[in-house]
Amino acid sequence: MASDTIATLRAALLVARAVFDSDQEELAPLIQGMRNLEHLQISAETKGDIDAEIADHSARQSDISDAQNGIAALLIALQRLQDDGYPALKKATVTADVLADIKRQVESVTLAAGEFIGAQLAARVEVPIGSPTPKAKGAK
Amino acid sequence: MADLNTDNTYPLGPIVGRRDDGSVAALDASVIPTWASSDETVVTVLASADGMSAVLTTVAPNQKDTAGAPIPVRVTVTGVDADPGPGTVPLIGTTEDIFVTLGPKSFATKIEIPVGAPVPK
Repeated sequence: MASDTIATLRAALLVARAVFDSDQEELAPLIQGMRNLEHLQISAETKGDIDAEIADHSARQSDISDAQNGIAALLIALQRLQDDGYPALKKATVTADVLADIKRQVESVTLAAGEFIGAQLAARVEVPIGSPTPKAKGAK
Repeated sequence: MADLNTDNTYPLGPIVGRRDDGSVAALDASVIPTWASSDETVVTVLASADGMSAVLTTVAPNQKDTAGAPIPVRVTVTGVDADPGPGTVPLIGTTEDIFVTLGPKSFATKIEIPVGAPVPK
C-alpha cells in the first residue's frame, strides 16, 4: 500500500537522521579540538598530520550534512504527498460551463475518431496453382 | 482440387493475402516464407528467392489408401507475415488438394510384336 510505504519510509528516514545528527554532534567538537591543537607549539610535520585529519573529518562532516539535507527534502516531499491524499488523485472541480465545454470537445473528437478505421490484416493466404509448363526433355 | 500430370511443372503463387471479407491485403515482403510438400514422392516444391512463389514439380501419381482411392497431397507455405509493419502475425497457406496422374508422355506410343523362337510343326 502506498500510504504504508510513506509511513515506513518516513520512519526509516527519521532513524537515519537521528544517527547522522548524533554523528554530526560528535564530529563538530572533534574538528574544533584539532584546530585548537594547531595553535600550540607544534612541528610542521605534526601540523601537516593534523591538517590531513581535519580535512578528512571535514569531508565526512560535509557528506553527513548532504545526507541530512537529502533526508529533510525527502521528508518534506513525503509530507506533501500525504497532504495531497497520495496515492488518490483529486478530481478538479470546475464550473458547469467549463465542464460542458470539455464534454463538447470530447464528443467532437470522438465523432472525428469514428471516421477512421484501422487497416485489416490478411486473415488467410491463397496459394494459386498456375498453368502447366512442360518439363524439359529428359527431366523426370 | 487440382488435377496435374507428370509431364509438367506448375507455378505456385505469387501468394495472396486476403482479409475475411475477401479483399486483398498486403503481406510483409521482408519475411521469406518456407514451402513444403506433404508428400515428396508425389510432388516436390522449389521456392523462389523471395519465397512469395514457387515451382511445383510432379514426380509420380498419388499414393493410394487401403480402399484404392488416391491420397491427396498439398503444398504448404509457412512463415508468412500478415503484418506489413514491425509486428508479426504468422499465417499459413495451403494449396487445394492435388492429384497427379501419369502424363501422356508416359503412355506407349507404339506397339512391338516380337516374333518368337521357331517351333517345328
